[in-house]
Amino acid sequence: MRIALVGQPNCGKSALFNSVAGYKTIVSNFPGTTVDYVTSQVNLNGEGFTLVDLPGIYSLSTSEKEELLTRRYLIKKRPDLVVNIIDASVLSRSLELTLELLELKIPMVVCLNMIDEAARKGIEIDVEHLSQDLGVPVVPTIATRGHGVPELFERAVENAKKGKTGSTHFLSLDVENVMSELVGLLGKDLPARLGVPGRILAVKLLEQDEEFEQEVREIEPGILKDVGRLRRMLSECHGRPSDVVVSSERHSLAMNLFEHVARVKPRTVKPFRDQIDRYLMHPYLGYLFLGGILFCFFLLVFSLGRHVEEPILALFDHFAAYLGAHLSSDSLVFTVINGLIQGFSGGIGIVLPYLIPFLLCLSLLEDLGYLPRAAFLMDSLMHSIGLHGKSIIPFVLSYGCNVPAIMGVGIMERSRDRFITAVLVTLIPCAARTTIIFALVAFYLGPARALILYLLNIVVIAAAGKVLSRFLPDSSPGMVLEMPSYKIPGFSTVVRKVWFRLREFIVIAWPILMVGSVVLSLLEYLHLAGPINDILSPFTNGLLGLPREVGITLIFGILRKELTIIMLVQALGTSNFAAVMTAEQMMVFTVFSLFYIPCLATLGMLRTVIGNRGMLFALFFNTAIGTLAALGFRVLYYFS
Amino acid sequence: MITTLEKLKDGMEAVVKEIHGGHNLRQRLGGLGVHPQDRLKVLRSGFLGGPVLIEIHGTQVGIGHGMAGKIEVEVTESL
Repeated sequence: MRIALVGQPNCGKSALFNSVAGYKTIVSNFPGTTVDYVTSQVNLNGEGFTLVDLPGIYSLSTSEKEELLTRRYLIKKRPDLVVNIIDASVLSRSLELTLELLELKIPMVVCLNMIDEAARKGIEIDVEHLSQDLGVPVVPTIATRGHGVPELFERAVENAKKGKTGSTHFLSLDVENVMSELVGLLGKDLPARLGVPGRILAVKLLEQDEEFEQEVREIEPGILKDVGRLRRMLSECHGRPSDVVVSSERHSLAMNLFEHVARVKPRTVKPFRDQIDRYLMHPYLGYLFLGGILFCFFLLVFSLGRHVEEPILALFDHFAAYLGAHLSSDSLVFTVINGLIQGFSGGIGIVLPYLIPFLLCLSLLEDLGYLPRAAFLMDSLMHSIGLHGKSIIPFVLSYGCNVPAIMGVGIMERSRDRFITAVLVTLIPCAARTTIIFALVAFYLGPARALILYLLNIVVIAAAGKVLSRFLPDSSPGMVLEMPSYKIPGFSTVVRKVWFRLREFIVIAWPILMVGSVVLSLLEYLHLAGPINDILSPFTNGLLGLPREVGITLIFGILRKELTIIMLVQALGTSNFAAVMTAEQMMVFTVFSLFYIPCLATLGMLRTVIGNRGMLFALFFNTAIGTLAALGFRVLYYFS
Repeated sequence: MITTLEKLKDGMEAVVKEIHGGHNLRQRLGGLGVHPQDRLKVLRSGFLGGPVLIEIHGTQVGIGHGMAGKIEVEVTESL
């Protein structure tokens, strides 16, 4: 039995999913590929079923990619039961989606979530009445605390077996007449071939739905002429485009329903959120708070992380040295084991000190409801590089480490925004690349030059953002964002969210890191540094004018960026770089290292978030930018 | 007074008259509960090209400056 969870964004759907799906379940998640929803096998009262957590959707009339996925799943794959989760505190708006879902004629249960929040807002809901009006069971819940959840699923299973669908709510007579004419014209065959109930197809065609229009055009283009005629008829009668006519009708149906079942008591106390938002959303102070919050976030994650990372890495180095002493350090076995240890410790060095605190902070900010506010404040600035406000968070955190920043890209709803942000974020100098800038440029060429590099970096990112958004134009009409009320995050929800995101790193990125480091130790074992330098020399020496020996350091830089400097000492045989490299070479080398191929852990994370092709794209894109920027500096030095 | 949403000042109340944007914009706004004839209140005006924050049907919605310019409103109460 398949049970789909459907609700508007922020309705507490994931909290509900988590409270049922728990730890003991097989959670599969394939982001960015074909399926983008999470399914889980759940055992409840001895009965097993598949729970499907679909992306949040405001309405079945949508052109957002993620929301279309939900719609397609509901219409084409028809789950056995729909659990419609409603944020009870915004009942009137949520009922519009509920009315659309009822038309699917799939057995349904309504979960009236956040009933406590509604009570706080002074909204009293007559549950029995609502259930009668909708013709389906309605169960009030507080999902974050698990209240009402067992009952909800009992009713759900019970209803799925009965196969009870809800009542149809009719629009006004003239709209219904137009609709039944269209249903008649569509006949039985076309809806059946498309796998869509006739009434839904008719509604969506009148609402000028692009996807359905396209599907109909492929099979029976002739009918679109009639559709056009009926649309015109509706819009002439009402003086509005036909899609507005239909959605306004649904809106007023929902409002009537709301007035029928709910009573709103005027509030005497000013709500808590308004008091906080007076400061956090203030046109000037708001930015001060945003800056402060991001700064604390950054400091907490990365200053804490550094203190933990160093001893961990030292411990593993110690272990490797111990093994080396016992296993003869030039044997193949030791090489492979050493590579594995390097990769493993690299993973530990990222996960424990950086990812866990980062993910905890991010989940907290997310569950508190601050992220949409940050997005609101930063919207105009991020717009100038073709993104939206929310991307500010991965950007800022990327200065610490790219890996969690890419993980944080998941807070954006649209895959296009995730893709662009993930790629841009890898161009930001993380803590490891900062060490290269400091060791080479700031130390030998002066802090002013280092500052210029940081500024140049921002300019390059803005330009890259412009280029990417030209190729991936923003299809969304701009920001329309709900500001949820502040909520106190549930402990278990936060912990599960952290774990869920962490396992993406552990399962996908970590193995890449380990394989990569074994390959690099084999390179060393087989004494391939010389041949590699030779292969790379047309590029490193010929094009960029760097010493031939740096080739291998750039390869090691892919494993971990800080290795670039360590290997440079080894390759050049001195830590006094000024003695063997000119100022131009140091600058060019640093600039290239700043941008070229991201480190393995970052690549692994990119793969989880934007897929193989996205990862390869970032690899070439960044290398191209690095080469261009390095060449730019060569030219600059040539003329000065 | 009929104007567009991005021109309203903090605390003003208005009724949505018309949404001039394309189909996508209408859908998006409709999903968040913004339809013609709905009453709204401006919580934070879109000064300096920033987005507008409104309260509508008991929820708060942030709307980008450009989009707000496509929403025609009639001011019912100005402070």
